[in-house]
Amino acid sequence: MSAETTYGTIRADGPPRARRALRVGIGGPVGTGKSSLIAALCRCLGSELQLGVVTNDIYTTEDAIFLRSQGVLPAERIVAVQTGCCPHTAIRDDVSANLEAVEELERAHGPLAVVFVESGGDNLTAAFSPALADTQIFVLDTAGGDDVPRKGGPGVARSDLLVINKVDLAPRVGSDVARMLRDSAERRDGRPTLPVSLREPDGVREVAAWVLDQEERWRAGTLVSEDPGPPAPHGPHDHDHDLHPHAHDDGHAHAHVHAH
Amino acid sequence: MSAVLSLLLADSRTPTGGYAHSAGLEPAVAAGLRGAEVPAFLSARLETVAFVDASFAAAACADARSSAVDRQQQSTAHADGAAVDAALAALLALDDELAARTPGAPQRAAVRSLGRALLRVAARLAPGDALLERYAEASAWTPRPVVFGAVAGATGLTPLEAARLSLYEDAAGIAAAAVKLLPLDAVQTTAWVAGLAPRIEALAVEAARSAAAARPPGAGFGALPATSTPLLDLRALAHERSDGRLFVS
Repeated sequence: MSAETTYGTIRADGPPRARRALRVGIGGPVGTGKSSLIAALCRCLGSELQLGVVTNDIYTTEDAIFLRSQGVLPAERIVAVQTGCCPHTAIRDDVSANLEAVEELERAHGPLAVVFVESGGDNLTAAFSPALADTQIFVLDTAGGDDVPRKGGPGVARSDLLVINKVDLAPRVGSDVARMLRDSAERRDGRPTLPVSLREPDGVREVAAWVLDQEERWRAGTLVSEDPGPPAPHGPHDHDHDLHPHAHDDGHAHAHVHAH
Repeated sequence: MSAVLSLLLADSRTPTGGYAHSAGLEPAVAAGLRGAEVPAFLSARLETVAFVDASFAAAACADARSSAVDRQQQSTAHADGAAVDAALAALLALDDELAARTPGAPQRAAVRSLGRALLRVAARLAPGDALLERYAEASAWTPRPVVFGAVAGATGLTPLEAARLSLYEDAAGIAAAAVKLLPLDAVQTTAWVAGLAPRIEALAVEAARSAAAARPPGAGFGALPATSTPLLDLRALAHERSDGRLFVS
């Protein structure tokens, strides 16, 4: 038996890196703008990269329908996965349905450069399994309250990129963006955070640049994602990820791109 | 060892995608099924489609075991080819037989994705198993009951155990979905599943017997049951078109 053909296309470790798309998990609470962010990214990167999207709607195919209606990608490159009331499980504890959807998408429309996997809006403890996402973006918004970064959680603390969305709304909802960025920085130990307003014509540019950078690293085989790990209570100064050291062949644990 | 593997295959925490399926309960609830009627729903499935699934799991388990046993008796790695070939042909024939008993496209799609999820786990439970590997490549469908039986056989379980697990999982999966779909106490639904234990055991014995009667593979597939619940098939079609669903099936 050769490792490459273990169980046909169903491999415990997935296909070899170079031959499949970078999988970008996009998580965060309901209504923070995950779908809009993906639509904007597709609009910005669609001519440059072959893209696919898997959505995990809670109760409808709303997100997939929204994305298709935006006309940013051919409709067949956007697929919806039902998660049986368990959006959290579908991206972390049992990713099989999402993995299957990603692989089918690549089989049918590949080769793709990037597949975005949008989590059904969940709470602050949601995080993608490394079995599903190679890198992940966590999306918060100013309208959800400027105390959310301080509350922390694996997505806030250890996602590869934290997006603070709807900064244009901050004055109207009484949120202090500077405070959100400060609290995020304290939580994130140097990992990047980007304030974003998708209402601005060029609002997604920095996030798109980050995705491009991740895709380049992926193709080069140098991408190292932070696994946010299981939810654990921790304060801003508990660097509990240190309890889960990542062993890498090159001994280099963290290769993160920082916001410009 | 097989006792623990048996538990592992029955455990909903084993990541095989079952949490996103209600085995037809959600469309039934949408059509008006009430909480008090869940035990009747559980029983109806056990006696019909779950019994078919269990019989196929038992048959696939027997095929996988025969090839595994033959392989152990061979002295060289190459000599097991014939046994694996025969077992593979039997599993693919079971695919066809089950397809003939699965008229609805949504159910066919559901058991396919559940089967593939289980194969993904099996790649770690029985690494390098030639039969599972070749079946995953050769089967265009990989329906869960056949995969389940093959994995059970490859890991050393008996056809009776495979049938029992298959039946139990059907009931336990519905019970788990029921508390999300209806105002029910999970202690109550758990008690309903426990109450079905004698019937599950009796059906498991019957399923293993029908699987044995269907051997040698291909000769007696008529012995495998074809009981069905047409209402489940019809509602599955409506469910697939519904825009307000939580569960895949």
